[in-house]
Amino acid sequence: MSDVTFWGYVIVIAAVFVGSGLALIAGIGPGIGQGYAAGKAVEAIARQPEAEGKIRTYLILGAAIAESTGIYALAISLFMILMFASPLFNLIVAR
Amino acid sequence: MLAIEPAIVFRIFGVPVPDFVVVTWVVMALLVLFAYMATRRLQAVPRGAQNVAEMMMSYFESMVVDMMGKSGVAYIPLIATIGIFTLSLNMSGLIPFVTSPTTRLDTTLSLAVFVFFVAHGTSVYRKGVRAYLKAYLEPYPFMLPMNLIGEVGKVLSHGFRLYGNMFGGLVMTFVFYQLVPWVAPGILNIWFGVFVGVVQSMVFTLLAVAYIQVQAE
Repeated sequence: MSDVTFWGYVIVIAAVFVGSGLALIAGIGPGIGQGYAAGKAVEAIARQPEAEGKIRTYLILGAAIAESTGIYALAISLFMILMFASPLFNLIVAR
Repeated sequence: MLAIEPAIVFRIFGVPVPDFVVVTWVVMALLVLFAYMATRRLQAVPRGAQNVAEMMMSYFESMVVDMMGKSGVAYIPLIATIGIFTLSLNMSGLIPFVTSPTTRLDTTLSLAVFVFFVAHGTSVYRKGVRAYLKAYLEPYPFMLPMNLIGEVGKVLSHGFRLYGNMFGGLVMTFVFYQLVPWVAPGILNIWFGVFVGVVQSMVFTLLAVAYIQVQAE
């Protein structure tokens, strides 16, 4: 492996780590959304304590669906590290 | 602990069997054993294992009937199986030196694909092929690509949700193990195994019911 390829790989690995960090900015959205949903659920239970079971079911369902975008971001971030960074890292270590 | 390639335990006719599949099989065997022991001598007044089994079944029964109505009774065994199975798989991470099989995408995504086929099979069975295919052209024919992407996205997010939460927990535990090798990783492991494990298996089951119910209508 020449020096140019080596530093090329190093830059790609660094870019992958920066990119996977940036992908997780998407975690802001689900955080706000789930917090809002939980707050509304607490309000609803305070108003009607006897409906707690049903409210909990719909809260968890709604929170889970709101979480999808965060899960996509996590998956993309993990895959960038596992698919691109790890093989190149192994190549560099093997050198 | 954090391996990308699964460790191959042994091979059956050249097919590699990784470690998490062995854990899954052990969990399945224990669940079948429990089900057999709990229902061996049924009594009108349940106690012991039969009581636990009836409690779990009535929980899933109320869950399915609440969401799907009387027509969902046929799905109670399936949903209860998915719920108890994912819960046991999540909990298996609490055993020392055992990594929960739900921290691998293979396990969770295959469960999600299974739910996908059940939901769409239900739709074809209840409404017929024509009405099933016509549902993709609702509300307008040009929405077809959106509907197709939506169906694929459901499967992906269903599988990735359980995997992402459990694998994220594993990564957190691993990072804390590097920083503080004592006590802290154990507490984190219990948190991610018990609390996140129970909540996520419940979410997985609820979403399975919701996806089947959406297709069944």
